[in-house]
Amino acid sequence: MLFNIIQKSFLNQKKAVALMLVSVAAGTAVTASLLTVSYDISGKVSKELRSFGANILIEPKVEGLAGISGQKRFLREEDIVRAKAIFWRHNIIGIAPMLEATVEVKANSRTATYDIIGIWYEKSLPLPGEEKQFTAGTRTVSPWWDIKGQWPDSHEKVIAGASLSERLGIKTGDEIFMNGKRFTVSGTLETGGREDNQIIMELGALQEFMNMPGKISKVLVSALSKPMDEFAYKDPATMTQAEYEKWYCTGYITSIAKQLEEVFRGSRAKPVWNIAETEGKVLNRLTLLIYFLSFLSVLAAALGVSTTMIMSFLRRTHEIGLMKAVGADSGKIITVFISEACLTGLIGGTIGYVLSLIVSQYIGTQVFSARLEQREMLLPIALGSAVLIAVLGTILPIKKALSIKPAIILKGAE
Amino acid sequence: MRSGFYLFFKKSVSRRKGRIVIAALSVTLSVAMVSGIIGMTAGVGAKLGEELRAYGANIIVSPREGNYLAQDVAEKVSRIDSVRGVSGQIFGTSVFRGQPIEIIGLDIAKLKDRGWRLQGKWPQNNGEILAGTDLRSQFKIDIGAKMHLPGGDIGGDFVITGFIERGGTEDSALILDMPDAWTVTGADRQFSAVLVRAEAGRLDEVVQQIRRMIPQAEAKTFRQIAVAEESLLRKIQLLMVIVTVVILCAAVISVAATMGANVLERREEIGLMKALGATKAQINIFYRAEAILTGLTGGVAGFISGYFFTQAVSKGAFGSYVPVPFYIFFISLLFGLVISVTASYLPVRNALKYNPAVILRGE
Amino acid sequence: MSFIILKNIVKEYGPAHALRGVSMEIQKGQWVNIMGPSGSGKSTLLNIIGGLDTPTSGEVFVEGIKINALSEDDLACFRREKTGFVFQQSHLVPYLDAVENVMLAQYFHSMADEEEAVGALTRVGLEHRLKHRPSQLSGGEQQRICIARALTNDPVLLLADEPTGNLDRENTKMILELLKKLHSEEHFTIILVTHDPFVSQWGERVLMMEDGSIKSDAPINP
Repeated sequence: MLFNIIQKSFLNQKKAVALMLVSVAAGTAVTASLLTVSYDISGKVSKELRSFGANILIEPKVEGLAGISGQKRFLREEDIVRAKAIFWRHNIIGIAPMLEATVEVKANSRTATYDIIGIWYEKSLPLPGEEKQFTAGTRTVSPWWDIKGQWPDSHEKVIAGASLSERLGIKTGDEIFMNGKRFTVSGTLETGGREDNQIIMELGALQEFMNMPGKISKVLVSALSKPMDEFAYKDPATMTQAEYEKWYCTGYITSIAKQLEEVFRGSRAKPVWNIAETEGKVLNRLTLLIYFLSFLSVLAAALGVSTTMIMSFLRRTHEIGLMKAVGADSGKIITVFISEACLTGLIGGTIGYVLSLIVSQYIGTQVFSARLEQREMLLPIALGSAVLIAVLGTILPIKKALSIKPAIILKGAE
Repeated sequence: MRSGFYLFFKKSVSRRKGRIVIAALSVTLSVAMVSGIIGMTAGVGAKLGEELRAYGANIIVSPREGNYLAQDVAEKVSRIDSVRGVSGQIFGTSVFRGQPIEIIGLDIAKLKDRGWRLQGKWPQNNGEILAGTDLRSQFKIDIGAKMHLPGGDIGGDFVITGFIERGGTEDSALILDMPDAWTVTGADRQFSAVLVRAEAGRLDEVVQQIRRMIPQAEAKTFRQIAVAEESLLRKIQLLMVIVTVVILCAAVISVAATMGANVLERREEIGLMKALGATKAQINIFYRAEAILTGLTGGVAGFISGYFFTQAVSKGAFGSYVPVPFYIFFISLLFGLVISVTASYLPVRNALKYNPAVILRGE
Repeated sequence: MSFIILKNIVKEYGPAHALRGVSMEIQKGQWVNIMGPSGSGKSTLLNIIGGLDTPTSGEVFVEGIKINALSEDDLACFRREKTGFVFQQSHLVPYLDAVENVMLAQYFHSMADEEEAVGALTRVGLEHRLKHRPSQLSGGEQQRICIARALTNDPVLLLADEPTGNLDRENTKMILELLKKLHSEEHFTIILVTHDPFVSQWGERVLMMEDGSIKSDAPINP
């Protein structure tokens, strides 16, 4: 019987029902898409913030005066792959080793001493025990590198920094002599940083050229990390055993650095503080921004749906009067109307949820060039809140209608 | 005698308060969401830029020839619009315990909250300096260590008040406040480089301006920071725009549905007016007037709530309030009017199309 | 020439025929009752004569004006200048009181005049109910407001669709007496649709309709 009444009511008032459905769907769509965005915003923004460059620097440990008295210390290239074996290995999204040296450069009959660095530009590393290869190299850490020309495809080719090229008057395709050996410039690089005054070549090529096999001077690491909080700033040396374990197993930039230090023999790893700290702050701010926006928008959407429901049910006071006149008690009337509201909430909520999938994926691909993670939990939440709001929106008009004597309603009163 | 239109309009509004309030509330909410988020989008760039400052300089000015820039370069650059911060620095070397040691001179007061981790105290007086954290283990020195640094004409005696860690080359250098650094390097009132923090999105402009104003200096964008922050700001702005559009659509739909339900209820009234011989224009004006009233009320109320919305978000996310440009008031008013009038236009037009005989016969 | 002339009026609603070629004439000042079972097309006929509905084919002349050829605004003008309607459901604006409901019709006609509206309500015996809203009035009183509203602009044609359909016998009689008094004093033409044999006894002529056509057309002998 109840089903019959609702079916009739829906079919006979197509327009009114359509209006409610559209409103509920729109409200749910906004709510669900913003919730999806908020849920994933932190992950997406942290990835985004990684484009500011490495946040961990691994260098050889220096003890005593030996470090600066010319006996340079090095890290071992073979240790690099071990970085992907630490507890937080999945948070490591970029590794860039670097070997530094100085050379005498002769070009266009000018001679000067310059820094030279050997790097991996983009290199696939096979990981022990895993099928997937890991892409390492400067590109994964410093995406702002903009090479004009070609990355060297042989050991006889180099990239020249922009300022250096200008000073020596060389360009892509020119030949230069380094420590007497002939090289071809395959491209130039401008970053605004110190690379502009350096010669850049493939790590293996520089190791061979300088006769420093397997040696690297430092490693830049880009790692996703949990923003530093008060606990994270505690000195690990003063922590209790339990605190230390908690710290070690939390993805702070300091604990990731600590773990890297453990796998690189003879190393010292430290956060690049301006990058790491700012990243944490910006991440917190943006996440909060989206949370607040979502919360307030959801609130407004809920109220918006309520106004539609109130307006739609107000016009049915007449119907309520009629039902009362034919002897329906308040309980029955409420059941009919609440069931209608639930059905509206369910149908509208489902449509809205589907719409939100489209909207949130549009936001994901347009803004972050990646899909946003969908939560299955969101469907029941979206439907539940849609039904709740729809029902809340009907309570006021029903209460009002029930309080009026049927005779008065039927005469056209409101 | 009173004008007929005004009389009926007044009665319709005063005796249907509940519905008018709900319709106006619906417009208010929509306007609040939209004007609030527009206000937020306008302010978020500036707020975020403030945060991104901590990443460091995005333009580097260095001498084109020779080793130093005159002190007034920093002043000139700081006067350029969209330059938010300028820091003149000097780099040199000195000798400590027979070892060469790098010296960085800068305005130490500017380092606070800029991503430098300090153990110890910030220097307060002349002669107090900071040391990079690597030097601690290299030279086995501690806070309070005294060092004599030769350089310039006389050199100087210094005390280390703290060790600093940044995760860069600074970690193996001594950090001196400006006058001290000038004494040690002998490059009085000059800078090796001027680091500039300019508003993201105007970097090219600023670089061009510096090149024009100071021909002896070379200005370059520091791509590490510049590229990343421009892309980040662009993405956040894009996100805000998409969210604005989505919310805008939902807001319009919500108002349209509310107003639509309102007019649906009055179809009988419209049919009656037609039967009484009212022309379409005569009927339209009643509903148009009500929509305008609702729109204006909702627009004003929406602007006010939107203002608080913006401030709540800004305070919550950035810890400070954001200036809301006044033009948003007019946008709110206009938006309130437009959605309210459009939302009632369609259902009224639809009701007018119906044969009054059909509407009046009832269900 | 007759006051109202219908020539072969056909009205189709989709596949259904509401009127299948109705032709007739009504003289000025005549009171005509239209009777018939529900669905026979009597309301449709009334609405077409009053310009509330338009025929699918055929011609309608009222006072020599061919109203089926009028534009929508001219038709609205025709309704407010020439006709007054009374419906079964009273169709009063719920948020306006009795005087204001009458004034609304005046407003659409020319200008609202409170004095005239009060006069119209006095003529139907409602001078003590001027400031009451429809919800505070009985069915008979509501219908009387409708009659006052229908007559306030001095129409030549009063159209009533089951005006007493919701009323008890006593109220029905009161309404009919009122119509009779106004008709004899002011000589406008009345067309009244009813299925109540009691009501059809009033007036001067009865049309019986069935299945979209006129079955019989006879004068009433008083």
